[in-house]
Amino acid sequence: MYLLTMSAPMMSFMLTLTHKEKIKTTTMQTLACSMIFFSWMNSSIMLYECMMNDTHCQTKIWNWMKTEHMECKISLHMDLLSSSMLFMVTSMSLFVHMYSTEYMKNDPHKHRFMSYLSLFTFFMLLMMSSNNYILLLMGWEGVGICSYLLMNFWYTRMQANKSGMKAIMMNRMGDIALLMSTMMMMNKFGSTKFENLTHMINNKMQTIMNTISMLLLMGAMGKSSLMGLHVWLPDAMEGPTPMSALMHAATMVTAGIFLLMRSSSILEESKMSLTITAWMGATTAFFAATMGTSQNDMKRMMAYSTCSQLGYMALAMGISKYSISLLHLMNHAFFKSLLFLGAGITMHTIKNEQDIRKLSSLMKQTPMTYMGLMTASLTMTGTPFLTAYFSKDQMMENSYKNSMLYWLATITAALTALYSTRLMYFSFTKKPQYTHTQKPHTTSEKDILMNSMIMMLTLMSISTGYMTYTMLTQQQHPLITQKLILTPLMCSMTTSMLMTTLYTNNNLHNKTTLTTLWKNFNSNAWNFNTFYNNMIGEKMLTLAHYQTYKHSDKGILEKIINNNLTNIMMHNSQNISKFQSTKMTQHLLTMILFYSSFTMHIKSQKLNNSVLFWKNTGCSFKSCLGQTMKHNSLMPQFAKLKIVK
Amino acid sequence: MENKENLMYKIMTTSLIMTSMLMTTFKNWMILYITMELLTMTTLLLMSLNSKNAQSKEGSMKYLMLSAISSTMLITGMLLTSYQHNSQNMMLKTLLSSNNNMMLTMILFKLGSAPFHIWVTDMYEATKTMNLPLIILIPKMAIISTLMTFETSNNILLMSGILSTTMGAMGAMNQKKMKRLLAYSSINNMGIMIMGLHMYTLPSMQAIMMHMMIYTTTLTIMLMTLHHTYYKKQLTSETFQNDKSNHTHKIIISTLLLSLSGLPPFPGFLSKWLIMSSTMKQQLMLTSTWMLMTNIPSTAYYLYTMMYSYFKTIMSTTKTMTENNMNNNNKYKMAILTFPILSTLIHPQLMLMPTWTVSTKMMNVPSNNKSPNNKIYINTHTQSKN
Repeated sequence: MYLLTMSAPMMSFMLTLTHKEKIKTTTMQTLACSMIFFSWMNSSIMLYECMMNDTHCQTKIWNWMKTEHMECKISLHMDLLSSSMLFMVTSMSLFVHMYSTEYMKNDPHKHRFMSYLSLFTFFMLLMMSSNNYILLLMGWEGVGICSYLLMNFWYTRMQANKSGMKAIMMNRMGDIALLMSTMMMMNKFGSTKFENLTHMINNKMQTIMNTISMLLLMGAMGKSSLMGLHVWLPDAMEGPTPMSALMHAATMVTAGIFLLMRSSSILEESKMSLTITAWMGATTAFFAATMGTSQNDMKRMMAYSTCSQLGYMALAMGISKYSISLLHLMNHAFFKSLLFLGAGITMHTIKNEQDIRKLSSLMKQTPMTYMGLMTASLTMTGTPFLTAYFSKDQMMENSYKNSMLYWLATITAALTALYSTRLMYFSFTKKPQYTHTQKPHTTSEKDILMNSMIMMLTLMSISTGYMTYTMLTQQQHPLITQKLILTPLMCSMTTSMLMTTLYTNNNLHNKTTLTTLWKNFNSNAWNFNTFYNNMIGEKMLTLAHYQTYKHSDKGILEKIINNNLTNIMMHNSQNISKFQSTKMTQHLLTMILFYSSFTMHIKSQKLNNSVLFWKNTGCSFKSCLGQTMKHNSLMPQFAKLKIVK
Repeated sequence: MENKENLMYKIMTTSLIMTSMLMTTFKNWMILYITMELLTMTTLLLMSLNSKNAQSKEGSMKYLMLSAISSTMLITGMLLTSYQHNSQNMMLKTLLSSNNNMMLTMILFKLGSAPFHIWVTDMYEATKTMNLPLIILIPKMAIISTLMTFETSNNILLMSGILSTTMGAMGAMNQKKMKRLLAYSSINNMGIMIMGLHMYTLPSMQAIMMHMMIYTTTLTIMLMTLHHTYYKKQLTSETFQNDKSNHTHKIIISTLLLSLSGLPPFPGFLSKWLIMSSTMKQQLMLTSTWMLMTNIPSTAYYLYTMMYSYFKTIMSTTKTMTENNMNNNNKYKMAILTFPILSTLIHPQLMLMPTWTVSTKMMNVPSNNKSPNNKIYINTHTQSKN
């Protein structure tokens, strides 16, 4: 069953990739969806097993390789963490697969899109259910590749290409950090299996532990777009919307968080990196929320909100509340994918327009989507008893120990309310600034499948929180002042009310220079891109061009290798070819020469018992080229021979 | 008439295979000599099937002369040793451990490793492409397996290995003909295998077996594909010219060439890596460095070959050969050979396990003894030195 869960998406990928012409498109889409559905069924059974029956299991699939200095098995590990992640991934993937059959209806490359989605699901499942870091790294890389492919799905668009390149560059840093930490683990502990890495600490190992966990954090930063390596996420919205919903909202970006949760036993050993994780999370949450307030592009806004929620998750891990982080992760997947899928419908209604200033009063045209998006926004702001409330509130309460973190998180909650109100107001309730020249489509939500998706996700984002909360965590609330419990809620409520009143009264037009500056600063994403480009990218490029390229590559290496060495090689090989002549005498001569010399060689060896070759005694290696015929090893045989005589 | 020739061909091939199998089983020098002579004869017959070709005549003549000389060498060596030992019973093991290199050189000649490699290229050109795998690969496998049975940590092997890798790498640099290029590449690969043999540890034996399996299959597929490719002058540039009919050939040959050059997702990487790592385990750093260094030019000419198929403009598109094209049946055969060999790295244990068992059998060690400090993992000659 575990294998079937994994292999169903892979099979779907293979089918959709190879049978492009042979199977009808709609059949293919149904097939892919049913495969994913099958996988989802399996993973829900698994979730039941792990969650209700409290079991966990490891399955060895095959011995990948076993030589005398290396042994690697491919085996799966199912426990509460991985099974809940699997459930989340497969259900999101199912929703997105079904949604995209309708969404990509007019695209000529439906096959490619479906196959990439399935491949992505496969790699994600592989990553979630691996039992060592090597297999995890495999899934990690595969997910990265799929993300790049899907981001670049419309590869004729320049902007999509750029964003794909950016994503792969930024992700590479995280990948390399993860690879380095894996190698370090192999080197220091001799194993990368998760269970073997618990309680590895002794007093000498503190620095190693610190380094490993910092590298892991770096890896998580890349994939989960925490502050510093986050710049790729907003640009990743160039791809098709279903893919953004699946990868850059619900599943792929949580891979980094998953990694940190998996390596919790290592992280717990190093207090330094825990503190750094917490601060990183809080600052990411805050600054992404500030950027979200001043974006005009709908999807970018949502991307920043994802970034901010990921920051929350990191914060929860930094204060050692991994289960809360997992809870938030699962809840986040549901409401964020609802936001994205709803945004997809909204965009389709008005000619793929993403700028929220140009969208207005969509409430009448897309009531269903409005309902869904409203629920998602309310959930995101942390309205009581909706999904996110359970995890977010817990997180806030737990972070009270460090009051700085608490206040930062509270301000972020207020900002979250701000940008989600802004989004809802501008795109749905605001009166249009222009008069309609033609009658707008009243029936843009004509597809039943899409509507049912939205309905289902709406219901889920209302209800899942309660279920997951009761099942995943039975944590007690920490002791804090009673007034503080309602603070985040009050903050967000006041902010959204304030915003609504301000927007309706049109009081925001009198801008001061300070607000303009602040707004520019925010809408430029705190100038991170500018900084990276001007300070790092350009400097590196100039250095590479003038030093590496001009001096060493085109200078020294060209002189030595291309002009001299290659000529010598070619000349010599010509000589060797001449050696292969047609003259029989020459051949015979060489044969006899070598035969005699080789035979003579034994004679000399017998006399001296020494090596003929470059014997490097000063070398630290034992012997350099050949193995010596040792005197002792030959002696007994000679002795025997003499006896025979 | 046609029938008769067909029958003759079948007899020849079966005798070749039978002799090769016989060779692996016997432990006596005399019978080894006889089987080798039989091999030479059948090989000559198979080469001269292509009798209208002048090159074929030249190649078979060369092979006859040179192998005659080497056979005399073998006989002389046997005589000398029987004189030394004063016994007629000449078992394989006893003889080679007393360092009689005359016989070893003969075996090296048969393997086609430098400096006794001169016949190899001519042989490749002389024979029909269809018969080449039979002539080249099957006897080689048999001889290598006999060579594996006796413990020869002999410097001759190392010398020959180094020379072969160099010769195979350098010789094909300016080569224009496809078959000659393949011949040089086979010399290069043989050198790598001989270097592994020189180590004579259990991992290196396993690595050699792996390399042999992978290399022979790769070369067989390549030769089969070339057999169905139309090229008149046998030039490398010509091989991929028929773009329309050959696109599967193109893909097959270029992937296999990549595999031969030892790039990671392909099985060629695995075998080369195994040999290299067993060399490094013996702490023979210069040897492994040399292997890598000679791998660079060989990779260069593999890539140069592929360049013709993808980056050069096609000279003439008028050539259309229909008779030589593969039919579906052959395509399936090719696929059955190609896919498993290219997907070895998904589950390498499938090949590693049997090779391990075979090499333990050959070296007569219990297979359940897995301590890394065991004698079989590290050759004692090197260890006892320091």
